[in-house]
Amino acid sequence: MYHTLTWMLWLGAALLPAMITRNPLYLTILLLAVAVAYKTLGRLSPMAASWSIFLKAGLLLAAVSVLFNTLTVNYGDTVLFTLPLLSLRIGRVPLLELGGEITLEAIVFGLTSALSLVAILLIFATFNVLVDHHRVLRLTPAFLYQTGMIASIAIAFVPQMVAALQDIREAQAIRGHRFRGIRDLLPLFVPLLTTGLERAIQLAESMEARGFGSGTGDQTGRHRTLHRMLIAAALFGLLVAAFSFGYYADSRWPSAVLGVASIGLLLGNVFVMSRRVKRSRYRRELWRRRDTLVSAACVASLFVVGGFWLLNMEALVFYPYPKVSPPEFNPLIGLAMLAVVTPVLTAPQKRRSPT
Amino acid sequence: MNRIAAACVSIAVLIALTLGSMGLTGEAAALGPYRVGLVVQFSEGGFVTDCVEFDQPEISGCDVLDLSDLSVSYSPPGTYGQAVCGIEEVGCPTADCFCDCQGVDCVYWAYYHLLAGAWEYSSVGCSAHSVHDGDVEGWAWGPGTYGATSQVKPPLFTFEEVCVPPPATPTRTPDPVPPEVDFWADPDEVVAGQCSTLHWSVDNGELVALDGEGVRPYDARYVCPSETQAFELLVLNAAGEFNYQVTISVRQPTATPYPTTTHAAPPTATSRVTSPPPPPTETPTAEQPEARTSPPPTGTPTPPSTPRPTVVAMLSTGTAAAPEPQDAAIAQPTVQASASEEEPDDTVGLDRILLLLGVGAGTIGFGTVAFVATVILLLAIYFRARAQF
Repeated sequence: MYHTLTWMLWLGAALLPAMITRNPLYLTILLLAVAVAYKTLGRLSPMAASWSIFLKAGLLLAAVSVLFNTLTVNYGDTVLFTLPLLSLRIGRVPLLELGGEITLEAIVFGLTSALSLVAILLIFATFNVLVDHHRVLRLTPAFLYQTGMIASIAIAFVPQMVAALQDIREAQAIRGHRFRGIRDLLPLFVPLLTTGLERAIQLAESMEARGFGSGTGDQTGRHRTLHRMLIAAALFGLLVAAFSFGYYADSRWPSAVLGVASIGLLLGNVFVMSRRVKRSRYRRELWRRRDTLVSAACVASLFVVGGFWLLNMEALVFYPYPKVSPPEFNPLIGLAMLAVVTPVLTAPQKRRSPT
Repeated sequence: MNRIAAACVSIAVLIALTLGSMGLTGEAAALGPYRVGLVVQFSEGGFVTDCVEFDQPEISGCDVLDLSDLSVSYSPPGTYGQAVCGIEEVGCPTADCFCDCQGVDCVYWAYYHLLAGAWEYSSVGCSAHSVHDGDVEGWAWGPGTYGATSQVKPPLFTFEEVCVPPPATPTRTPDPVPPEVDFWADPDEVVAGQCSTLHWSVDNGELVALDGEGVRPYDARYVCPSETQAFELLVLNAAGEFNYQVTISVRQPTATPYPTTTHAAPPTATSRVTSPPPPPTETPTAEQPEARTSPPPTGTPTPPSTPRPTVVAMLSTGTAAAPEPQDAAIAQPTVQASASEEEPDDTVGLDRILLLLGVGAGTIGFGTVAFVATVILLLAIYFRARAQF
């Protein structure tokens, strides 16, 4: 439906606000927008069932987060009630204190954290439903083809195992085996283990037969060393820039310049190295007009949210301590969140098949 | 299934019993007068010592600060307890607790314990540190252990130096210094039904009370007197007992406009009582206390040297032509008056705009309206898309 690069930009536009703000109003908008994207585009996907698993896991994590924050944090002005204090200590240092004063602020902070957590999980769940992993892996730089191959195998591992588990379960059920307790799981796991080992050996043999790891021979040893050194230098520069950006808060410009230069060096190096490796594609992805529209909306959203983050962080911050107050809402940021639903607006309408 | 239910019930009962017994043991804690010394080093070289009394055998370092006369703000609790963001006016806001700890120039409220006659840097926050009778707690606005070489530590005091033994026998204390007090109302004259704010800041006072109620040394209170009323601030320290009064005049709405001819200051001016207090009724001494925010008035007598004199000051620009010094107390009301003149204009302008918009946002708030509009827009997109796909 959309180009993989468009979905990557969509992921960035959705993830950035989810990770940097705890404002419940923005997070609610974001959650609704992601839900709309799934309900309209994602529910027809073969992976659609995984969304509900993510949702359940997110809600469970959210409940734990709220409960943990409420019981362990006794900070805040609005005390609702007081519970007996259960304290676990080593010497004088308390490791964990449960109970005590239960404050409204702790509950609100737990809820906003949970909302943020659920938002991040659902964004990834929707991304998984909407995007083919193999297409994402094709975006890896050409010279990293070995890494891409291994990542592809690793990603396919869990779905393959789940499919094998289902097959074995059905086969055993046909033989009259009933799964009633933990002891009945043995006939399930032993075939699963042997199947997994067999598949691993088969995969290794087929990869070796195709010459995996033999090298392309398109780079001389001198070139390879040079590129490796340049990548190491770029990564080191990035590390120094990140450290100095946070440490020397008064003068951040040199750090920013060093960071940009390092990223430029890294990308340039990757580009040059990728050009030396020739890869053929059986099926090319098309970049359509709607990709341009969605990408533009996502980039604009990233600029707005990122701009607020860098220049006016207070607009994104919601901090209930020490006394909770209603969150603020900036319409511009709210509008930026709506970029997440642009794939819904520009998607082609489904043709109803004549019955 | 029944076994699982039984196991769950058993665990729940066990937890309830554990929590209940802990609550009971908590209540059964022994009571007793325990004391801890507190030394706080501020940035400008000044420091404060306090002897904090409590009735439990063990409290946290944060409790010590809470029980002192100082106003303290904390960071949210972390793994190693809470950090102190600000003490009195020195420090950072709670939302950005280490605002002055940026890069190499790191300054924050460093926490120390007195161990074997020397300050030892605390490895945990104040909420994670237990304090017992006879301990001395130290706080210093400085680099802590961060700068390694240039540590700022609180001045060294032993417990005995901070906490005078309970029998209040005269001990070697420095010469009693009268408190430095600013006490004023803003505005000092209101129309019936309107409210005013009482402000006070007290330095070098051991006990501060407003109309008989204990208050913090630096604070303000919102009052809405229905008729002209005098408010009394009582400050107690080693030099004696000092009373300060501020009167808020209340005009009835039907009364004639400002009696400008009888008042020395504009109607919106605040009345301020600034230390030193005016002449006491007893014998004055030659020593003159130092005013904190305003130059000392010339020729003003000072509190007596007798142990606990009662000094009554009544200064109000709105009530009487008191012998008020021409000091900063006059300058400040003009600034506040101009600020208070601008605010209503802004509010009125905003209300007009909101009324013109006709959304009733004056009560709901623009952000709320925008949020609801965004949600409605999202729902509209959803229903439209649902019909299409």
